[in-house]
Amino acid sequence: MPYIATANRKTPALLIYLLDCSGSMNEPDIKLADGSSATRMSVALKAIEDIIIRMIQLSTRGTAISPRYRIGVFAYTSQVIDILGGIKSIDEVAQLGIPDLEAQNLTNTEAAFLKAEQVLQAEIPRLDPGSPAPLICHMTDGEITMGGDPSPVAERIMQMAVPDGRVLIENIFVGPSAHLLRHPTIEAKDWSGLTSSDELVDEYARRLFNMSSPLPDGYRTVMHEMGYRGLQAGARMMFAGNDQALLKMAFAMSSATPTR
Amino acid sequence: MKNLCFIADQTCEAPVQRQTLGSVRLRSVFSRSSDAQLLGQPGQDHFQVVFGESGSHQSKIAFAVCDGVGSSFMGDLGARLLSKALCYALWSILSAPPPTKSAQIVVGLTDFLDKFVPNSTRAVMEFALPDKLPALTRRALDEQRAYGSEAMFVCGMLLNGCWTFAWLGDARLQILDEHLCAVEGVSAIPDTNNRWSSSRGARGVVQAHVFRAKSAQAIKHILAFSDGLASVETQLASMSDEAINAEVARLTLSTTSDDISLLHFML
Repeated sequence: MPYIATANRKTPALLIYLLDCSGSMNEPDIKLADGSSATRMSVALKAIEDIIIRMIQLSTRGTAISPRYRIGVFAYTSQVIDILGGIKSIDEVAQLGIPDLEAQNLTNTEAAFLKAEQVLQAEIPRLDPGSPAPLICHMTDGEITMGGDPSPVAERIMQMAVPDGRVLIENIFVGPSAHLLRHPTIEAKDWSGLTSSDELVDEYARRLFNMSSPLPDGYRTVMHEMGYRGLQAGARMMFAGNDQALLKMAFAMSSATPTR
Repeated sequence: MKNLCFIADQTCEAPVQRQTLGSVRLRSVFSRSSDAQLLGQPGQDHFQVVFGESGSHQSKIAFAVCDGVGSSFMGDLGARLLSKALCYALWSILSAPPPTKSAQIVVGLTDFLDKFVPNSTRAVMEFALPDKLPALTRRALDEQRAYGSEAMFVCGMLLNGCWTFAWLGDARLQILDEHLCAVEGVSAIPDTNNRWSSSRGARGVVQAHVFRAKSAQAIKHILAFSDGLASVETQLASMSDEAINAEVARLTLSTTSDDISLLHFML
């Protein structure tokens, strides 16, 4: 599978964000560059806004925006909430803005992936054959407290394909990386990525790892161009950490569909 | 004799146009990308040609073709600022005395572009965005504004029978003899990493070549163009006006088409 299709007006990249909005997202344990800390939710929202800004910058012609990306944002707790009201093109997202999200109690990850599967089933038949493989970017901060294991749904999604390749899934764990990784990430720009489940501490981490697609070379090249030069071939699309720089890197990957 | 100036109009398409500049014939083309046409936005290429007489009453020409970088702030602005600045530099500064070595052009142009930074920075900072932009779009553009506007270029000058060329980044230059074979001496290798920046001047090393009067006699065609024509660059010199227009129309049909600009000097 090549993953070389470029995102443009005729073949926009389809990106679906699944955002865990459980109560623990209000934990103020994310380290900021200035040494202070902020809640997981606020930092995640800032990272999403930053990446939307980047997609707008990659799509501008003068002051107009070419619909190079199509985006869906789904927040989940005990239920799944469609934040944008369907899949919207990047020019529409620029108009709508990024709404504030409120953290609530439970975590039903399976419901979120079922929603993503439903959206993909509707969207993939309508995609131009030259479109980039769709990408699901899932952000979570912890254990599932409601619903079943999302792994089977994620496995089905990763079997869905367009000519450019199978649907990609990226997982971002927001929280202390020591909860998942044997060797916590130190410096985002130099991080080599996760290439083996041996680097993970428990079954939950391994489940996220197995739900994460291998990083396509084209994405790795774009990430290198963005300054994330440490990522190795064979790394999974999985990040874990409570550092703002790492979260920024993680969300940057969701916009790394080649554009030229 | 009053100087003549030909400037691309970035807001519309211009099929092949022909001009006579003394003994030199010029044909030019300008076309916006399909995205720019669809969105009603200006093209991000720009060219300018200045023609007049030197003190010794010989033809004097300065030209520049610039390709604005799409991911920078308003690439059309960068291309426009740069092509005008390059023509001014060639016409008014670097021609007195006329350069005899490429190193003179490299140093002179790099120095000029460094000194141009305050002006180009001010032009970028003062560029007025529409009032009714969505907040996210405005933030995206303001971030780009802080970074600056960028463009790649190829430029040249005819003075006292000598041709001088300079380039930076992925702007294309062909110098051909009467058989449409490349005249030795110039090796313009496109490099997308190098460019001019409104906030930093030349990023990368400016390349240059000077053909003195004797060696310049072999030059019969000079083609300066943007990478929007890269797919047909080997045929460009021999293509008829109609064929070029047809090719531009064909290229523009693609949703991924780039802006197109061409200056073809026939000596």
